[in-house]
Amino acid sequence: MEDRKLIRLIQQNPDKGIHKAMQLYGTAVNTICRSVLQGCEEGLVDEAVSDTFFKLWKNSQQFSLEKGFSLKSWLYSIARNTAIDIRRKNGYSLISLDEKLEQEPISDVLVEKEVQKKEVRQILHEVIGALGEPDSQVFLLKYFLYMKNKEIATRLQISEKKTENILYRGKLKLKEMLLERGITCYED
Amino acid sequence: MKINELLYEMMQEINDKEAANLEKELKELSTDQTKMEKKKLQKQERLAIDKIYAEIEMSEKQQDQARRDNASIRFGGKKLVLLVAAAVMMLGMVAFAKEKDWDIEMAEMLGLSSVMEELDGGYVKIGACDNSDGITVTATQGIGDQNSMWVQLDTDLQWDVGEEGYYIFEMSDAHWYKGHQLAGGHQMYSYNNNGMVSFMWYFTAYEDINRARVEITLSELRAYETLADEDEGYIVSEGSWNLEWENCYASNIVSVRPYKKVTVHSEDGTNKLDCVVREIEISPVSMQVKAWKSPFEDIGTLGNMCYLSVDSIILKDGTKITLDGWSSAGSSNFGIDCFYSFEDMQAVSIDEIDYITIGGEDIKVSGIANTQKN
Repeated sequence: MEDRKLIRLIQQNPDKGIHKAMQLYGTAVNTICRSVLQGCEEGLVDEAVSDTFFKLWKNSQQFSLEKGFSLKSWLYSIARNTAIDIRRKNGYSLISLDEKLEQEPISDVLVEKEVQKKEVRQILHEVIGALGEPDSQVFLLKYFLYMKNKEIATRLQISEKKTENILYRGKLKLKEMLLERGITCYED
Repeated sequence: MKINELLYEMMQEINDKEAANLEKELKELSTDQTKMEKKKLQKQERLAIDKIYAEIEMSEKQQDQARRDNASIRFGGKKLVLLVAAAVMMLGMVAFAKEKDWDIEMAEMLGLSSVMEELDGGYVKIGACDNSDGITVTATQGIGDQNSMWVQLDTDLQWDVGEEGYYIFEMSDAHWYKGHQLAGGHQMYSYNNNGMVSFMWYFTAYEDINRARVEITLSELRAYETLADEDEGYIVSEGSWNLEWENCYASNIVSVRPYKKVTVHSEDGTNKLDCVVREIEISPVSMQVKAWKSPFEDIGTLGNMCYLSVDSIILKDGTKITLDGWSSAGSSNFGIDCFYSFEDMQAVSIDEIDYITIGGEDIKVSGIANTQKN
């Protein structure tokens, strides 16, 4: 079903529209929420998934194909951000302990202004797009789905060391591009 | 900002390529959970639907309360309609003489017949038509002002999809030109016009569209038997229609430049945005509010976005009209706008408006406004 038809159905008949959206994206949204909410009680996953589809209905008028995002990428982003909010509200931390021990090519990035954040976001997507497989997958699993390095390694059937190297190389590439665009990075 | 922290924050939005990339992983991850999935999905779907209906119910209650609070609106409104109706009877002939073939059914359908006199030249005959694949599409007439227009598109095709069905042009594109291409949006819905297929096309623009050249391209007309037409409807015609005309809406516009600082909040209350209301334009058919914002202030992200919105319109007799939502809204680095059609703000006489409230701040309209005729 085309995105705009599904949006129209959701607006005009929420029962049928949400049912259809659940059929199409329910499993993926569950997986995203479960991944972000790992270690939390199962009820929070239900809360996050139902909130995601509620927000899809509530914000359906703001969804625009002209922005260049498909409904799928929009919905996945809502799911991820909803799950993060629920995780925070319930007192669970987001960054795992093993990350504190990771070797980093950059310790801090000086992002002072919102316009710079937009630029950094664009650079990050460019870097991920240019990384190729499985590197871009590693970045998505790590920073979109909040997976731990060990889980990523198991999922992609690569070693944990390789996962760490991919993340390190990707961050180096990101640092190069940030510096090229005049964004200050502090080294460790 | 720490690099990991930054990366997590930057991944708030993913693009289509990344979503497709992720999908493969999501499918593999979800196969582990397939057995429990169906019941779980049903439960989550029910929860989502319950939340939606709770929201609808709450919204309806608020609207009922607003209607009760504004009981004087109805009385005042009736008086106003009667006065306007009398005015139309006395003066209407002059106005209607300008467009004597203008079909009042369109205004009645939109609920605008009570403000036709106030609209004055805001309704026009268009008459642009094109034929393709044996079907003629005609932009028959329109109602509008400098920021918006409603256009009635008629066809010579019989309505053949029952009461629940609808028609749609699979591809529909509209552009306005006035030296350069103007920015705006549009939406269209079909209706049964005495047994024939017609469309109401609603345009909003962020720039003055009066005297702009309109170019519309429509193609592939499809029919759907119901809203939830699972088999995707059927193709009525693969034709392509091109319509062009020049806009001319001499509507009354009340224009105010208050330059007032207001703070708007996101719906969940976690985010706020300071902006300066720089221009308000109100006509009998729409209201457009434009504000400046600092390019360094972000309107937020999914879930906690700040939008510019008008809380209420206060009439000179003290009547309060609470507004909920808007027809369209937009933002850029330096600006944030919102647009209301008459459907959102009720058909009020623009001369009766005293002030509007945005972000809890009152902004005076009467006495300081420029009333102009385009």
